[in-house]
Amino acid sequence: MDSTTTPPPLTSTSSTSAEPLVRVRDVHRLFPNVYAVKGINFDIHRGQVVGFIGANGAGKTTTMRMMATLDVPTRGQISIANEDVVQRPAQVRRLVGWMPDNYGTYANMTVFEYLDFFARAYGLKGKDRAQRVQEVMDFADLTPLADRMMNALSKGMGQRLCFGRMLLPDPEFLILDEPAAGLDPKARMEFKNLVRLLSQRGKTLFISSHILSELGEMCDTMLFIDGGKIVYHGDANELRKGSAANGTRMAIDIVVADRPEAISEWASMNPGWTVVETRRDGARLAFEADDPQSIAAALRKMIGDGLSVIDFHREERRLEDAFVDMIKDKSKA
Amino acid sequence: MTANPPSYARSAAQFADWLPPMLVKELRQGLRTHMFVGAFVTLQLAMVSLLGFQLLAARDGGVANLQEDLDQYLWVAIIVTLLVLMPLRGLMAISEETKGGTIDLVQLTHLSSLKIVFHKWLALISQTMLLVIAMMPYLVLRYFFGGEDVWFNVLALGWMTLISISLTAVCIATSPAGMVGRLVVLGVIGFPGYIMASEFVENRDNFTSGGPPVLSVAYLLVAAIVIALTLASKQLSAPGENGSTRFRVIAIFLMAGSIFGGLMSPDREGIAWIMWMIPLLVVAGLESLSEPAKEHPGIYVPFVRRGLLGRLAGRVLYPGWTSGVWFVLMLGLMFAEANYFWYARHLQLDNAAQFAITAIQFTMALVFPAAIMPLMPSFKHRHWLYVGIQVVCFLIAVGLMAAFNGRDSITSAVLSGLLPMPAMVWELSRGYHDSYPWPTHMTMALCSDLVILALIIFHSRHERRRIRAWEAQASDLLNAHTTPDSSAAATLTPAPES
Repeated sequence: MDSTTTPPPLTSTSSTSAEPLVRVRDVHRLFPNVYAVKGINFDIHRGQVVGFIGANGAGKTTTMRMMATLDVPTRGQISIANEDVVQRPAQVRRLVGWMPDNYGTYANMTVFEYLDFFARAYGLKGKDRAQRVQEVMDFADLTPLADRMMNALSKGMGQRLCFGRMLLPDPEFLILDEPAAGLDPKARMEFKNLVRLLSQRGKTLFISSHILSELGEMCDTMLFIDGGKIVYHGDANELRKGSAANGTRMAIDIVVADRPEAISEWASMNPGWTVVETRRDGARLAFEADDPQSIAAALRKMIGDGLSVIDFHREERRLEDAFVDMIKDKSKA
Repeated sequence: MTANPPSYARSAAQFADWLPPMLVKELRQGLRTHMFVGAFVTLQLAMVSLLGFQLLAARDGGVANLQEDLDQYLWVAIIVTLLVLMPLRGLMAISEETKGGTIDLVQLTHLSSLKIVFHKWLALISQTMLLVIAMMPYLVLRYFFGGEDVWFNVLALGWMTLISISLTAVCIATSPAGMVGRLVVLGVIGFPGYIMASEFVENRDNFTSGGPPVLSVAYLLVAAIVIALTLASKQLSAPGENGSTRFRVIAIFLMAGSIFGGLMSPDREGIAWIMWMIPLLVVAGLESLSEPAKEHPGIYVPFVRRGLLGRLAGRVLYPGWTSGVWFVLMLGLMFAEANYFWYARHLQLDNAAQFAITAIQFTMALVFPAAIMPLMPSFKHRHWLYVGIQVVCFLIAVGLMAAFNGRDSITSAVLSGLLPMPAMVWELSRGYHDSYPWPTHMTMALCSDLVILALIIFHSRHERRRIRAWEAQASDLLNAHTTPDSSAAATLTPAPES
């Protein structure tokens, strides 16, 4: 996709409206010696969960900071709910929640005091403040940690606290920069649950990561950025299919009961099959077709040829592979 | 029976709603720090011990020397606590927010940078005041049991508190700088501070009788607080926030206050008012000539809205070094005029003109780096570059003085007039003696000043073009908001990239 043209309309979810919540138009950001963002365009509709993917230094954080009014585009325009981030930052800040990749802690402060401070700073007073802080603590499962000092929190707890802080003013649009980085599997699961809950409540989320698999499960739409330009904007499944349609081969995992080398021998004798990897109990093969009929026929032939197949499954094409293939295609083009 | 509220809910009620959020946060954190708790407990123990010793000494009678020593220890403890330990806490006030990445989060709330800085300072001085108030009962007891002069003690403590809260503000202002910058500033303030404190401890008895000019010193301390907090907030300001204009307007007002105080003073105390302008000018020069322009059309809107006058004011008040040059020149002109009028009133007219010329030379010395700094655009640390150029100029001045060693000649007059800093040093050290070829020196200095200004105007041409583009964008924005379809944001035309 040409990054300087207007993006195609996004796949809309049932809760989205025609008017996009976020409009990014021809945005550039030039730092001294670094051209971080080079004319990006995209829209985000209400209620969407959008994954923002790119390698380190691709321009993710710069873009997100500009959307959160923490930085200013050198050129172009970003508007959130029709409010320009440069001209009306105060109005935009009321709509935006920002969770940076490195959540800041304060020394000598408890979890509750941290949330209470931000609630005060957002202008909440009296019972409203107490109620809001309690709601957020309950939502992010922070109540048992309320009296704990911030510097005694684990990474996962800290992320939950940062998440809670972001929700205090009840923003409509949430920007999360690498929220799952450095989390253990349990904390990752908890985080995904929180995202799901927020999505169910109609919030619009914009989540960055360089780990594609974790975003694939959470997001309605993916935005890929590379070298400061948007290189893909669309559905994750579309990306997988799109890459497969471009001649990418299907990976199939096979486990056999007897000689595993028999699979490799069989594959070498049958056209369309390639051995990717041999294992102790079988092999990983690549097959040139991805339609169910061809795969079923191949399995019948495999069994008919005397292979004792006890497990045969298609590997879900990984987004990472699709992304790498797409980048390769782009660079070739 | 109702259940007890959880402990965290009780802690929420410790601070009233009307208290500023940053103050509440800083107090919650600050009162738990080891430094505050340690200083509080140590000072209380020192007070109790000293009072006990004083009582024992008074009972035994005739132990005046011991009492004198104890008194000295007491004041050293107070000075170290109030003038060293408590202000030093300000050094981390902003750096901990920027390093911890929390400043972005705070900026996204309803708190402006000025509120953040002011409330941090308020929290620190509240803790200082807590220490001072906790000392008061001992001062009264010392009056009853040790025969001490309460008035002197309270006055001295009051001055120290004022100095302490000014130093706290200065430390907060230096807080965003790197560790080296902070140490340099501390050295600059700390050395004379140490001498003054030693002088006070040694000669306490003379303090109340022949003390400093009260009003002008109080003005200096208050001005230091205002300018330091404004500077700190400027460094914290968000992209759309214009801390530079605020700093410059406040500096102009403080300068005007100094001139007013100086000219209104009936005696020679007036010169103290005028001399306070020097540190203000130095800070203004360093800050305004080292800063880049802000690429944010919203900043130019308030100026453009006021038409031609607004744009003209912007030439002095817009963020960036280009307008900074005219701002410093304006302050320098005020300084020169104040010198002229004060000396004209109290000394001869000839001296007044000479001091005014030296003041202008001083201003040109401050402005001079702006003629060279654009030649080094890749040098990231602009403040250090500014300081470096000034240090080199000063070394040249010292070298010239050493080379000519008081010998007046045309050559020395030409060489000393080549750069503003040596010219100023020469004028101050030679004292406008008749034997020196002043016309040559002045002609040279004037030519050099004109060349410097021409260079600055030449170097700033790109910057001025960009400012005009931002003004045009600001004008577009104003028009967009006055048209019926004001909800649609204006499409901005890009500013030329330098």
